[in-house]
Amino acid sequence: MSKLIELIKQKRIFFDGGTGTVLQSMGIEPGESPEKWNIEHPDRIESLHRAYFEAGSNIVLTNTFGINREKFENYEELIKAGIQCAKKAAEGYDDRFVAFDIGPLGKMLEPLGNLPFEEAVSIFADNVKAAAAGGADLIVIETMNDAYETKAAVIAAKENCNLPVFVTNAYDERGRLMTGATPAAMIAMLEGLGVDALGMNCSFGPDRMLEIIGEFREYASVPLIIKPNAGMPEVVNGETRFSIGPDEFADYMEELARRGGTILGGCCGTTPEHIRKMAERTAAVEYVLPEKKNHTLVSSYTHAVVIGEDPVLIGERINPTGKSKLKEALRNGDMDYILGEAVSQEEAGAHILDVNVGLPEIDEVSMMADAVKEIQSVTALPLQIDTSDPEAMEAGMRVYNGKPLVNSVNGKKKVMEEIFPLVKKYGGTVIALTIGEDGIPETAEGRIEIALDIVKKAEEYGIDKKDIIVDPLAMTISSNQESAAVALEVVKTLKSMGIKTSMGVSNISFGLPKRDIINSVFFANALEQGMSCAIMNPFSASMMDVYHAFRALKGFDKSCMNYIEYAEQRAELTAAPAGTADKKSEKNGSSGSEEDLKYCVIKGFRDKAVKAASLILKMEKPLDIINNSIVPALNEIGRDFEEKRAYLPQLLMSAEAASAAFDVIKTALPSAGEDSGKSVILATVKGDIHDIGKNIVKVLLQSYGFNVIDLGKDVAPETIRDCALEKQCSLVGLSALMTTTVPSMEETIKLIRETGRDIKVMVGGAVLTEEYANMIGADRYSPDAMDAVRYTEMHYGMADRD
Amino acid sequence: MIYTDVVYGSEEPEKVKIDPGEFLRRAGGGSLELPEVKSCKNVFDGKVSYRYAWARMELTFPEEGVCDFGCGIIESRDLYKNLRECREAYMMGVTLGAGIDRLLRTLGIKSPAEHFITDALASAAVESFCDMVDLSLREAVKAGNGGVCRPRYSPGYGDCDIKYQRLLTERINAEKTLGISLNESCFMTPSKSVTAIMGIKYE
Repeated sequence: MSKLIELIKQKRIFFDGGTGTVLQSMGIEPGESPEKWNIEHPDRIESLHRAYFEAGSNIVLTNTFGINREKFENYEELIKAGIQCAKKAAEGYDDRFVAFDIGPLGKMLEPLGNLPFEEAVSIFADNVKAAAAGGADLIVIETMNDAYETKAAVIAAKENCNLPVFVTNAYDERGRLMTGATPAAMIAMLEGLGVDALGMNCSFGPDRMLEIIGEFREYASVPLIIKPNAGMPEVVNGETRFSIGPDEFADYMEELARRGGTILGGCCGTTPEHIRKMAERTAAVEYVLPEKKNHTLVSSYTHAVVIGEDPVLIGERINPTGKSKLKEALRNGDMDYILGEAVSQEEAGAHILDVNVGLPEIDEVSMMADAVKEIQSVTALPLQIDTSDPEAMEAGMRVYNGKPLVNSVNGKKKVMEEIFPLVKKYGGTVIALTIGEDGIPETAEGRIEIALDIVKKAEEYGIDKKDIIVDPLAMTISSNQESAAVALEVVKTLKSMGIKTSMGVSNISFGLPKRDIINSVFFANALEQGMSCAIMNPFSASMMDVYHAFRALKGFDKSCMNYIEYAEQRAELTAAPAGTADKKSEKNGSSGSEEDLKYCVIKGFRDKAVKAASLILKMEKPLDIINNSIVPALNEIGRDFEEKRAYLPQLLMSAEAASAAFDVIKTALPSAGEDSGKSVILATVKGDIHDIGKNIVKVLLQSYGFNVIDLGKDVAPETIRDCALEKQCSLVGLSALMTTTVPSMEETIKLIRETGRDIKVMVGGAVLTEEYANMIGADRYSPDAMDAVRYTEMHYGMADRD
Repeated sequence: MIYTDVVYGSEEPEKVKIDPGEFLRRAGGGSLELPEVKSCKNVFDGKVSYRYAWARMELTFPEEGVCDFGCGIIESRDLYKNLRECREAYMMGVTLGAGIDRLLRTLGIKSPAEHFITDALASAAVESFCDMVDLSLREAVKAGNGGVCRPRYSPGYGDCDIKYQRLLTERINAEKTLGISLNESCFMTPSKSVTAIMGIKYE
């Protein structure tokens, strides 16, 4: 173990403070790169570090915050020179350490920005290699304001050196990183990745850090680093300065030490004097290391979910088993369908989403990585990475932004040897199935024995019991009626041993009719025995009833507030359909009529439109409903829009309601699931990333029942042409928002014309005009989305469908 | 880069009044008072993180069409026209934070209507917040030594190349103070962010 880690166990140690103010006093010009001074003025950098060592700092950060291969061609030379400056300054002192400083790259990672995760890891890795070769004592990753970039840096450090790794993040006034993570989320992820110490730096002064330190203290088991700024910058007599001087700073740091700050230092605006005063003032404060915490945490890039007494719901819908639509989506690479499932499960109340994308005919490894990244771009819920392929598991865990739940390991030696190293490396809480070398034991005792074996084996890998959640395996009662009792017994016994449990609840009813009835009663029983989480369908009303009722009965739901809110929402959904609750129906008192559906679509009531559509479907032919209700309703709101009586969001809400109703009706059409043959290809042209206009047209066309092939944004002319040929589609819609991208629209039209097929092209977008559209050879200029619908109807000979 | 004179901070959502006209212009109709807009605004307020940063600097003109801010020069006749009577300038930046980018992505999947309304709200909000910061700087100048601020100007307007966005974001430490980063084409992330230059003129 490193000398530093040993030292931290014995006494409080101190970081250095800010560099800007000190370097300015040494003559650095505003706007100059301080990193270049490692080579140009090594004596000055050395004296900066020495000033901090003299003031009492045990660790100084090398002057390498902004260095990486993207910013400096000679990054290796600068890094090694920077480390040398600090090492020279440390000469003659005991217990002084040189920390290689890694700051943010200045680029946002995908999906928010465009820097790929592995590219970030690779840039950091080059830094770490240079630092290790240069003789740094530890790696400090600091001022990171994004969880994902932090993870990339930690992985790079862990994979390329054996030095201790410390991480501090920059939290804002709300106690969150700029991309949303709470301290608990960061603690879950960073402790999972195996960092040696963690905490916060920069952003604001020690006063605000006092407000946040409680959350760190509650969840962190590793030493806690606190490095505030010297307050906030303020302008006094035309000069900008930080608001907190050395004495006041020391007051605050003393209090932060009392409240659990382990390793203390300063950031922007602090000086050697701040550090000296802080070291003096905290000398008398008792030194206590954080105690080991027992929370079972999984996290996303925003928050941590605690798996404990209060039950946690894991949405099971992103799993192709028995779901033909999802299978089709996976085969076609239709990510939108998967994302839709993610968002709607979150809306329905799931806390974690299971992600299983295993199909024999697809490349599961790359699909898992893509699905994890894409799903995390639309939902902040933590994910459960669900696969039996260790390679796909690693791909998912690596790119996952947070600490995932991992599904699963079991009691087989080979499986444990494959999965536990991944859990140890990337961090994760793992579901452990009670399957041994000889399969699933019939008895509760047999399953408990396997569970305990798994826990023991995990400990050998350094994985704590708190990060194992045992699944006692709910097997269908249709083949063995003992199976419910066995599973429940396992839950109860493990609970008494402090081991968390989870089950795929609905397996219990496999092969039986009206499965929800059995599932929900079994769910209630399992919760009563202490099951910590359940893999379930959050769209099942009876399961959600059990969940909410259980929480209210057990006192997890303070004043039953969540239950009351749930009950109100549920009442609304099960109430009489359509517009009956609205003024219109007060007049005619009808329900489940075509008029009701029409009204819902015009008003944009999506849920009610679905309800009305399913009711009418019992009485009318599907095509009649479309022609008598949906299309006239859309036409009416469309006319209102064209005549400026309705505005765009209202039109879109109607379109959403119509699409939702249409989906219900489609299931009853003879050619259910197949397209109408009336297709439109839509694309935002090459070089243009603005797709809001194209998306609006898509929604409207879909609401009218057209099959839209959406090629996305920034689409190459060849791709659009090839798609039109392949799909034999006779209508293409192109969108461009920027003047600079209209030439690529022209190029696309040219390529389409060269095919010699009769393919019509409609164009739209902010910069286009009728005249311009004619000039580039388009067949139609659509000034707005309704016009695109009208033209499509005309194209397919369906105009005047009122 | 080292700049120790950047002032930064944040603002509560309830303190930022979104200009109804800005919203109307972007939504192409409707109003902030419609129930569907109000409900989007509630979600928006839960995700928004208003942050600002600014720095004040001397301004010189080595030649016509060239503005020298000390931290670097900008060649632009249009900006020069705006600033030529000024001897000092502010560089400022504001953002709504990454939470709004994420919210817009989610709404893009969930509901096109809510996506459209929220996008319009966000664009109006970043403009309104920029106006708020703009006004406070104007008032500070007026109260200080009686100067007057010129209308603010952003890279990308007129002949002022978007590449100068890099100069501005570096000058106000936008990466640290606002969480803004630029891609190769100098587009900002979070996308609902604005940077601007505001000249200070003394009568």
